[in-house]
Amino acid sequence: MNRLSETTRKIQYHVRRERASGISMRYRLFGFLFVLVLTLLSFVFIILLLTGTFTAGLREAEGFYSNEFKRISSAVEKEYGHVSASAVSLSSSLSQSMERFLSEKGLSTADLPEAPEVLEELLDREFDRLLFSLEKTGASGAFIVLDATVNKQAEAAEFSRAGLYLKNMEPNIISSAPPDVTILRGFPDIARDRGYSLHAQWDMEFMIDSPSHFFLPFEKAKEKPRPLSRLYYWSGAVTLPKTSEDAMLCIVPLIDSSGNIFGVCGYEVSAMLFKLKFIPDSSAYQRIFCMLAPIEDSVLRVGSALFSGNYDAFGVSGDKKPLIIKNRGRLLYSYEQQNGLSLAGLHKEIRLYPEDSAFAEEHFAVGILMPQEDLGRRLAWMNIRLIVLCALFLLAGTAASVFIGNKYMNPIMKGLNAIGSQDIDSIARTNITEIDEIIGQIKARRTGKAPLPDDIFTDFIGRVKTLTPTEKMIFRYYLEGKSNGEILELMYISANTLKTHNNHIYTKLNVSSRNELSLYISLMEKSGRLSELN
Amino acid sequence: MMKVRALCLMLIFLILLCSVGCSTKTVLNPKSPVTLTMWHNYGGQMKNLMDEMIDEFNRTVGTEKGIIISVTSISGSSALHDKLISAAFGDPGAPELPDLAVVYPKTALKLVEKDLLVDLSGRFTEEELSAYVPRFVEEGRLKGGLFVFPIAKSTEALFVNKSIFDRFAADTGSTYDELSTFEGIMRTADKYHEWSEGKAFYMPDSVFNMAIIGMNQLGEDFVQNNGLNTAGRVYKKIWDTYFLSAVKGSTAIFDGYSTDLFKTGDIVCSTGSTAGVLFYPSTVTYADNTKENAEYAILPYPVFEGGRKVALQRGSGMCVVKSDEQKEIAAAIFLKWFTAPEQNLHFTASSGYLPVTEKAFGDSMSKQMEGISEENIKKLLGTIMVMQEDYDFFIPPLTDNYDELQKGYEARLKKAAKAAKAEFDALDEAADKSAALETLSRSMYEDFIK
Repeated sequence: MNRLSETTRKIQYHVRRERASGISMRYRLFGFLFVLVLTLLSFVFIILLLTGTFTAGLREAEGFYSNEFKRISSAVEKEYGHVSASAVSLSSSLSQSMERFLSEKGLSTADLPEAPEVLEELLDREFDRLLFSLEKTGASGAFIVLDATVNKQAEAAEFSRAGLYLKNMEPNIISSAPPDVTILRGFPDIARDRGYSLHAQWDMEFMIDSPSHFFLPFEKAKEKPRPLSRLYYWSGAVTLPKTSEDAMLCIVPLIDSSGNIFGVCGYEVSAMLFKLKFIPDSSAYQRIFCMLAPIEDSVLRVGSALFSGNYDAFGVSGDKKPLIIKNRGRLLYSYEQQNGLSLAGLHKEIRLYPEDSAFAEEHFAVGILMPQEDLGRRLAWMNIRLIVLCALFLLAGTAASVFIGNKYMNPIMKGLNAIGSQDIDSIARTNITEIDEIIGQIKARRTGKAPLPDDIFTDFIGRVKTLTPTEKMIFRYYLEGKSNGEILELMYISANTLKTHNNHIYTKLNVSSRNELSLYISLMEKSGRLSELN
Repeated sequence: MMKVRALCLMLIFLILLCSVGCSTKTVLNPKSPVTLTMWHNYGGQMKNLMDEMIDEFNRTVGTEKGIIISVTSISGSSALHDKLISAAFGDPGAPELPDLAVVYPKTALKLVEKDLLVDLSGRFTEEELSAYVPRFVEEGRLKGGLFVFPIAKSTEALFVNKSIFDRFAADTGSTYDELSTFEGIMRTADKYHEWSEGKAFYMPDSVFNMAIIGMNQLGEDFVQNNGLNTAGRVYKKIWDTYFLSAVKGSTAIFDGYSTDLFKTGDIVCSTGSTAGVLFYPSTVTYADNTKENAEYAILPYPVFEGGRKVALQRGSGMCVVKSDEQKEIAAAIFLKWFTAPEQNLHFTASSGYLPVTEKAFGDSMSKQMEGISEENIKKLLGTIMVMQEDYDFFIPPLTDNYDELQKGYEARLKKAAKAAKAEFDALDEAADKSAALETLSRSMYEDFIK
């Protein structure tokens, strides 16, 4: 505190001293340059404000988010639409082909549960169709589940269903090499005869006890006849029994020409396929991710969602509790999980079913989200960067003002000091015209040469006579060496009036400044003609 | 004047630092995390373990330092190799290389030749590296640099479906001791073939590994001068051991992994990687969809009679693809975390891989075994500890054409065995099968070594 008041006192002292002795040229020049820097900076600031640079981060985020959101949500909608349509088409062709095969054997689809001996051959014949449709659709898996089992006496046979499940292990790779397909469910010889491996989690049949997603569309089809396009069903992300990867399944019933429902077929979109296919651009926000989740009453079911992007917010939080949609801010929605996880982003419901579908009541939403803190941090960072740059500019401008002021003033001060010194003859040229001229005149006078011809003095004396009485009074005060302040006090006039008089005096006497006027007076004094001025 | 000049220089430096600092990426920042993509081959049950460990890293060290590990591919070793090579060579449709990948040295070698991998010796101090089992580190040194970092190693062992074998042994008097040599396995296989009315007993996951280790056990090198040493008496012994059994049908000739055949009870015994232990099914599913629980005996790798105890050291590890300083630092932090004894033991104790640090390999491992719930892994680690004492471990030579030699050998040998088996099966009942078998084997061998 003491130190502060000491510093303040010092500053006040310097200010008072400067006021008393007038402001030096050096400070005036610095002041001029500093004002110039401030003006430029203000100009830049106004431009930034007018062009909305300070809010550009927000607009950029808005633009980025809405563009990215549109891109991803339309890609998801398109992809899921494509898979749904392909599943309906697959069901139709499989139903016809299987019905034809069974009729060749003198059987109908209704006989399947009682004819386990035909199951392997039936599925074997459909292998190529299923494989082709899998490759064409670009899904990560394709399956057929029949409402029959190979052995009704086997343990848990009531939940066991024969079928075929092909998994494409690299569904997102376009390559000239054949797809890396393994058999997740099905008769082993179907795989071995064709040189395919059994999946690490292979089983011969499907277990449909839990979850029974496979037979939801089956049940719906039994309730009421509907076209296949109104019967397909999308499960949320599920981990099938005895497997380890989450996947969404598009399931369509298999219905023969008499309306008998004898199984289901469809496609799988695995967590890895979704992750690789719908990657949001993470160049601006590292922790951005996309989510496709069932939505119910402003709640996103994270536990049944698939994710893409590099950041697994729920893996990191270790919690897949539902995500509650909070209010929408100026730009984004905020989302909260019970454990305190707070996210920001956009979401919208996508249409997976036609309006009159048996599953029209089930809704899914695509969202692009990120941790709430990331958004604010980026916006703040962008403005901090601008402010820091402005501050650096001001600092650099101040330093430049000091530097230029010194650079400019040093030779002038050197010249003026030399004029004041006794040894004026030894002064070299300063290369400043005005100073060199003054030095020249002084030198000339010292060497006895009249610095100016007499007629110039006569002319000057004549001009003095043209002054008005007030101007003459002021001029006399100048002759007496009075300062402006003293003159103001002596004459009871304002500074402006004095300034006006000074201008008139300078014009009439043909001088440009008080310095020049003083020079004339000094020269006339030395020439012994000063008395003529009174 | 000098002060002013110094001030100006400082300001210019500050401005440059600010502008440069905004663009270069050298320091990790928890508020702006860096994402490392990873490809690995830990599928099936091991996927869950890998997911769990990566989540743990992302939640702890990753959050603290600003690193996110994102797995973008899980493929089998062979598919992963193909994918990495196609990405490295920029094949049409190939994905971008990841930042981290699990590779075998043969794959890494090709990537090193294209100058795509980071030499990790620059990211670890000598002291840090000295904590790892030296032979594991050495295996990752290629072309003068450490390019494959050991994260978990494996060897080969003998896997036996104990449930079926015990039933068979009770009827025939066969013992596990007989399975300690390849010749004993083939004799047992013949007995089983007869007992089971035509089923195969054994299958080596890799006939190439059987040959390269067999030759080493018997004192010779299989790979010589970028070719295969198949002409001598020693190799003929290995040929006969496998080929005769395969033609008779006692040993399965199959293009996939032996675990596929275990799933359906089509074989009882195989030699395969210890890393595959979780792929051995816990149930056998028969053609009528009845199931039988499968317990396993896991025994040391068999030895050819008269040979030394030698087993293969399989060397997948993690490589780091060149990118920028920030990612490379982040990758090194992940590798240090993943191979720290605590994580390494957790990973190995849940997967059947060998730990890679001396500390994890020593006392900690026996202590860890007590807490393992997975019975097969417990058995496997017991066997590995025995092998660690009794066996020498062989690291395959890293010749440029090693991969081609392996693939070519396996394809040609299986093709010859299938052809011979078809011929043998076609013989009528009255034929002298033993003589026919000898003749078939000899003629096929002569063709094979041409």
